[in-house]
Amino acid sequence: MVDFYYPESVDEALVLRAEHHAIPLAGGTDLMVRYENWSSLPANIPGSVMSVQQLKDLHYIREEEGYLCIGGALPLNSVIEDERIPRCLALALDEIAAPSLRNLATLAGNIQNASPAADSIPPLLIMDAEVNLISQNGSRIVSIRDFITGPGKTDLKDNELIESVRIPLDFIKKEKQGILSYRKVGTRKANALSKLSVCFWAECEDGRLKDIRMALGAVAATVVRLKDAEDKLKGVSLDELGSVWKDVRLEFEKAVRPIDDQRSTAFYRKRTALKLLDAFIQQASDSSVS
Amino acid sequence: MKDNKIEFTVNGENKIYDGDPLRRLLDVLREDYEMPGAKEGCGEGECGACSILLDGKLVNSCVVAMGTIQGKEVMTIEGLKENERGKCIVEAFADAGAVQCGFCTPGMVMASEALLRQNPKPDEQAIRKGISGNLCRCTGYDQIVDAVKMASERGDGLW
Repeated sequence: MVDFYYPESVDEALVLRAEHHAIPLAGGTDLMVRYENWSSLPANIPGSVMSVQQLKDLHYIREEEGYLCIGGALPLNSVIEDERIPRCLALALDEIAAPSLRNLATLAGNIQNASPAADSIPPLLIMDAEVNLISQNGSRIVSIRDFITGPGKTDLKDNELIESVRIPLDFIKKEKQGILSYRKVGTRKANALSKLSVCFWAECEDGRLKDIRMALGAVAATVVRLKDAEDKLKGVSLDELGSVWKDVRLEFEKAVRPIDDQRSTAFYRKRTALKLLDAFIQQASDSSVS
Repeated sequence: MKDNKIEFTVNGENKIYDGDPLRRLLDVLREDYEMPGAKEGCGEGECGACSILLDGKLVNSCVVAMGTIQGKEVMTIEGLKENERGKCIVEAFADAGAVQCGFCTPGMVMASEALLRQNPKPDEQAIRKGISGNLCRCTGYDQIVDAVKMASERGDGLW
């Protein structure tokens, strides 16, 4: 039988992380499936495991020093119901699985699972969100961009726990002034893993593109943010956006390197991702008319 | 902490479990407690046949580890069908022709109860979203949507 722990405080959980490197189990919606055993046998999770969903100190949403912080053990449905969360995140979380799994799954879990198709990550990337990692030695804050290092791989050390996800309030304040597009492409509306997902946001001012942020899921080894393309588009007048985009598109097509898998083909993913980008740029260009 | 007994309730009855904490709630319900209402379809949280209520919230019991349910309340179809709301939903399912092979039905009824608790007067879109995690391979869903609507009307005031 596996060593299973049920810490009653965050401090106790950190001792278990340090001494036993116990794997944190929150909703279990990834771990219990990944280590699924024959029906009626216990899950085959290697090493020791600790439940963290009972840690009420990690069930919160609050503002702290310019950030909206979402506690690591808060189930997705509780996150979605909170009016303070940005719309791009609400849209993405609402398309994760179905109500029953969203009652279990957590944002921290979706990040730590680090799937290239993780639905919460495109919006977190465009907002420059961060994670607060805690251990017995203190805490450190890492951007989502640096935290996810590969498919299923993160920078979480074996004595650390994701305490919270931090979203800059600056972005939340200005989100409504911009144009937002979140799209998940999947075989069915609920429960299907994404073939691809995109999150774009742009702010136009005085006929120019003031800011643009674009992230694509399931087109590369990790979710990608198209920083270089964004830099080239920032400041461009909306009248010229279409023609500038044509050049930028050619260049950054290289960043879109999807694979064939059981859910979709590389060809379909690439073509659809680019079409969705084209549509968004068109939408931004048209915003000058209104 | 470690090797502790897990105490919780199932349909209001106290239970103490001291087996493997990584067994699935679904298996314990079906095998240890002889409550076969929750079904195993996919075993991966994608079909909803194993849906139950945990502390009043709809969850897939196939991804719930026993070690995580200390102090929680479990409600299964065996408990729900005995109360007024459960009876109302079950009758509506029968009258609307929402049951064909019946494999998805317990999960569908649990999802309907969870939805009606949150929203006693759901429109069609809300119903479809409420049962979006539950697969039915027979009905084509329309009759199930009708059944939830019917339960919502007939059971006015129950939720």
